Amino acid sequence: MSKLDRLELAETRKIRIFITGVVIVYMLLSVICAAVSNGASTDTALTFKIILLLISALGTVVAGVIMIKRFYNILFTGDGLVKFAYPVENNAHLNTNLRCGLMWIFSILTIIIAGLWMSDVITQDRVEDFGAGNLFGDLRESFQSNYLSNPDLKAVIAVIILVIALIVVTVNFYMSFIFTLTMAGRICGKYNILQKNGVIFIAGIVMYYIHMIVVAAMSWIENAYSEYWMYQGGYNLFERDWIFVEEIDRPLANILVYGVTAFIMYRISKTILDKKLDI
Amino acid sequence: MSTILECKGLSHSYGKKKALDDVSFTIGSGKIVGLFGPNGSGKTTLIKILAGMIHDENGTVSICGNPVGIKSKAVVSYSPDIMPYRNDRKIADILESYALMFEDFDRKEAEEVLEELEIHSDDLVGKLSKGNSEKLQIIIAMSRKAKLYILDEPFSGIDPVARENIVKTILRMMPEDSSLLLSTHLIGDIEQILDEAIFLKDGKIVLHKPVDEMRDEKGQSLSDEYMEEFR
Repeated sequence: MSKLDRLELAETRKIRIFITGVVIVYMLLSVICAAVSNGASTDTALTFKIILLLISALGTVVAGVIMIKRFYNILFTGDGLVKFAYPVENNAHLNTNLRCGLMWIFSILTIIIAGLWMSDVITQDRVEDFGAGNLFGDLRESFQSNYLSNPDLKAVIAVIILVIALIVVTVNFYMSFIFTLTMAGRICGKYNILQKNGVIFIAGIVMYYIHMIVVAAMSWIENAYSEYWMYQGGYNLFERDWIFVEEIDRPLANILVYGVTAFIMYRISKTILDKKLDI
Repeated sequence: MSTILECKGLSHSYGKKKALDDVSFTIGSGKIVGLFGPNGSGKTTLIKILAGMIHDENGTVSICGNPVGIKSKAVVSYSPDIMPYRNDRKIADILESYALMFEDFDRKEAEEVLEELEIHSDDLVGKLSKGNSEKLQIIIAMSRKAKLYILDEPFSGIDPVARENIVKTILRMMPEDSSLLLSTHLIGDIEQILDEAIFLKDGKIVLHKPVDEMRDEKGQSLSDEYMEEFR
């Protein structure tokens, strides 16, 4: 862990403990409620599961907003005049923000998944679940009922690919905000524009439309791909494993597209900070 | 006398407007240099390039033999022209972050000097008066054992008596072989401590001379020289 990471964690210590604490408390309430209900009445347990989901979603968003705001502070407020004077590469500020921000977001997501999983285990699936805790079981059951070979292994692979896809898409969205701020900072610096928030707003809208176009393009490609396989006899090619392929093809496409675009955005942001910084 | 800072053909533009145009100068060790010029002359742009806040420049900068980067930042102590610390930050937290990031930061000295000026570590930045905020900024910058101190408009909110004390404090805290580049409009208050003066006009250096030489040549003060140049 670098000095900058330690400083970032120290500066966000209180708010991190508070938000993560709230999510943990709701996770425990959800688990305790699932244990107490023990299948007799599932309404309260279900309600707590929904509250846990909402609180966790809110916690994740707040954590993301706080960390993105901290990056904004570096580029657009006096914070940058202190932090870019530290004897570290300029891109270290980007890396630290990404590491700390994503670590925090994924910690909260891990807590919620653990909470749902524990609730499912305790109630032995008597409470209606949301799929996160029982994803592996559902996939294995599906593969077993379709007589696939090695259903356990295939279920594990499918779950791993789905989790990686979730991580990559989350990283891409976070990186999109960071990239938008970096681009806006570059434009403001190059042309000495004082209406910085206006530039950020326009850059944000442009990035939003780019995201919409990517989502639409992905959807179109996925449909075309499904039709292609249908006509080309994907089922005949893979036989029973076609069911497994169908489970992992879209997450793999997401990993590829969102992973590559996140990397490109990272590289551009890094280059701007290292070679074109102007604050 | 070794060279602390060397700039060669330094230029920077904002769009089509040139903020700095072919600026070249050197500063030797142990020198206190004043950087003067009207608003928009390029002083802050020059200082930001030296401090590593602007990277998109043409020309070369060498600080203790290194280009602007990690090595130069380790020996440059920079105080910007605006208050860089957030109002909700405790002074103790700021000192802690400097102590963590700069090996040459003397936290004990910073706390002692701040106490002398009745600024307490437990105070929030937002609770300080404008004058005390600027004192805090200067003390933090000077508490490093740097090779080059760069202070951009350090005295604008400080009353004349306190200004005199701050100037004395700066001289006391500054190591002998270090150099100081100081940008201010309050020429009269620092004229006595300056070794050299640089006048910037429309992004170009129009004058760079030892202050004593200027006085001897025309028999007038630096303030008068400034008025003559920019009136």
